[in-house]
Amino acid sequence: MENIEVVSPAGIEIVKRRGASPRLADLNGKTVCEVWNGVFKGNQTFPLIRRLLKQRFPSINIIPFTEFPHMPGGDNPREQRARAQLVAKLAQEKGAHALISGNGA
Amino acid sequence: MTKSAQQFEIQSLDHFTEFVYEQGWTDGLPVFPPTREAIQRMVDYIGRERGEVLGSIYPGDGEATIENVAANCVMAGCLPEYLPVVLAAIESIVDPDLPLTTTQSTGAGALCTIVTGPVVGTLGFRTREWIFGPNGGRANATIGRAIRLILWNIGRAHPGKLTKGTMGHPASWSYCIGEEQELSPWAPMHTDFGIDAAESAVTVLKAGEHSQIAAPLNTVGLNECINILARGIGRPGVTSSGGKRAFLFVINPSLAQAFADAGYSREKLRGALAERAFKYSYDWQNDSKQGNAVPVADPYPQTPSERQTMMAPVLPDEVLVCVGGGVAPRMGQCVAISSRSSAGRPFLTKAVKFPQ
Repeated sequence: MENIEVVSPAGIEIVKRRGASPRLADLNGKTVCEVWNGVFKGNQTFPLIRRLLKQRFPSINIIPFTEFPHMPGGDNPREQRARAQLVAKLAQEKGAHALISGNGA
Repeated sequence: MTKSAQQFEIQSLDHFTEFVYEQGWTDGLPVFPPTREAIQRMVDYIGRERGEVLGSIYPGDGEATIENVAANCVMAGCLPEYLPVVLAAIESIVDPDLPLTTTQSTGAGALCTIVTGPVVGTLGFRTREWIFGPNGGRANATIGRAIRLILWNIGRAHPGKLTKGTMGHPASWSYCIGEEQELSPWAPMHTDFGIDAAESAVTVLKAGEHSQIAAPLNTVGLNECINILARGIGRPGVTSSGGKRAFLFVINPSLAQAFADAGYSREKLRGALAERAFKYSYDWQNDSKQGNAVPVADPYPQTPSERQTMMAPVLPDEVLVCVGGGVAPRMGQCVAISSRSSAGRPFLTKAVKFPQ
């Protein structure tokens, strides 16, 4: 029987994949930024998370979501990439060691 | 820009079956070998460069080309003549206005593809009994299957990895219908979206709940049938939070004809359904971006919702009406599909571009 030549149905890789950064061992003394996309009542949950983090890591420095532009990225798919780049730039300027970027189900 | 896909040499058909599973090229069901010859037949039919880039597909951002789309079509069992329909669907799938996030996130929706216009007859879609299948129709089954495999292989929509949906969707294996035209009193559905009736088109809907609704016009009359259809959507939990939505009503030819006989155009029916429908929201904050909440009476007074005023209006442009399914004289039957969408548009319609 002759061999079969088949063509891969996979998508062509256009995104360079990188692993996630290692978790921070301790958040004490670290700067953590909050970014809210405007849904799932983040304006209520972020203050709770903030309080709990400060209880557990007394010297943590948290930059609240109000210091970042409102990011309803899901509404504007054409702008998502630009918005993500803006958040990254702002976080770097604020000296972020970590960033809470999700708030939802 | 053109790009080419990787090729493999396999010893035999038996080896191919095992190879496919090892490579992760299938979602679980068996597939046909995407041979170079079969793909070439597809490429020759469409008359476009095999490496032509069509866009990238969420969530893995794999790039779709004529070649790898054709490979998935071959694996699904498509004929070359089906490729223009699949490509019209891909045009929507890669369109940033139809972000697929909500079909792959917690809620686990599916992509429902509705083919309309003359191509439905040309390709032999089964549009009557068991329109949603299985019905033996090759076009229905394999075009829907190709779209699923494209999401799987090009978009890398692999559950537990990039796809985090909790439940999945049984229609995801293949979710494609053709609109009945011969028995429909109205022009094809795509005319509602600015495409000429003589053309063919493909609508891709980010779909959530799929429910059957009986509308017994022989016993309750047509006016009550509108209530039954309208109240079949928007129940708590079905359409939860966020953004623009869509509700697709696939009504059988008997019911469509009854509406037409009573003076309903498709547009008038869409308006009537929207007027009597509502959608529940558990999080009005998400919905406020599409308008103010409109409190309506709780539909379940014996077991009232604590959030009975958290109701949003349904707008006529969120209602789609398509004709299909078996004839059942004086008995209306409907499938209502609620969109699963919180970002961007819940559906897009594109004209089919046939080879010159």
